[in-house]
Amino acid sequence: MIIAKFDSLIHGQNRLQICAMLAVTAEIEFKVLREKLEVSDSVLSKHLKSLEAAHYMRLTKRTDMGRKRTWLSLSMEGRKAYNGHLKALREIVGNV
Amino acid sequence: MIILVSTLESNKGLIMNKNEETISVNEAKQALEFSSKIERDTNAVARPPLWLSLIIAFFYAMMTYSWAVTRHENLWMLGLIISTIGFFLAVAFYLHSTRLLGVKPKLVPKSISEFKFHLFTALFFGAVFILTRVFSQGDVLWASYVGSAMNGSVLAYLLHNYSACDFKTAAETK
Repeated sequence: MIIAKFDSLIHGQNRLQICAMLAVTAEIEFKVLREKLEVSDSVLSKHLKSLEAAHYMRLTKRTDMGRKRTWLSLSMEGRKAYNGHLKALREIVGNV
Repeated sequence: MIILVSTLESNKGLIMNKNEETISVNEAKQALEFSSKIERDTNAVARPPLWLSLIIAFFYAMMTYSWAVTRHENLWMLGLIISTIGFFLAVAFYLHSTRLLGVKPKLVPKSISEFKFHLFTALFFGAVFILTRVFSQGDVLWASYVGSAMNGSVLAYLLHNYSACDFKTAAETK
């Protein structure tokens, strides 16, 4: 069961976008996420570090066809927090 | 716990206070619409293109038909082998292309609603697959056509509209 909980860490526009993208996929490559968000490497890294510090996200580095690729995925805690955050937002909207 | 601290304030609606964070109803609405749009866009990238969905569905329909009409005296087992190989090749091509694109689709359920989705679809496809053969062996001539068309069309529909494998997400992001 999803518990409605407003999460200020997820609520930031870029972090919400990161979580929304990771929620509907298994893994997304760092480069793809950077292009979608239209931010620099350092800005994205900063957002990812804060999500990783909260154990919301997992970062995996793999060599694929001789190329190093960084894959990002939402952890179980991150998935719960994102769904809880959406539920909290829906409750706010539903209370009008 | 979320606490509502303010009441209706003319057109602005309710204001929510959570620790130091204060967000209005409009802001919450915008955030929901934004996340929904992002999920929809990501689904569009992660799902197979329509032509590939149709190819996968065609091979699956052919598998269902071939299995239903296979008898000792005919060669439909060959059709089953060819369609199975074609099905797995098409799925492998899809997974490889998503890997190259940098967006991997979900293959295993990650939540209860996704688990239910996988379970219901597996039961449906399994039941149609088995019942089609059972009816076909019972000399119900149209069973093999109906069963294969049903399996193929449902698979194409699910691949295109429910690529996130979650009926909740799919319904919200349509």
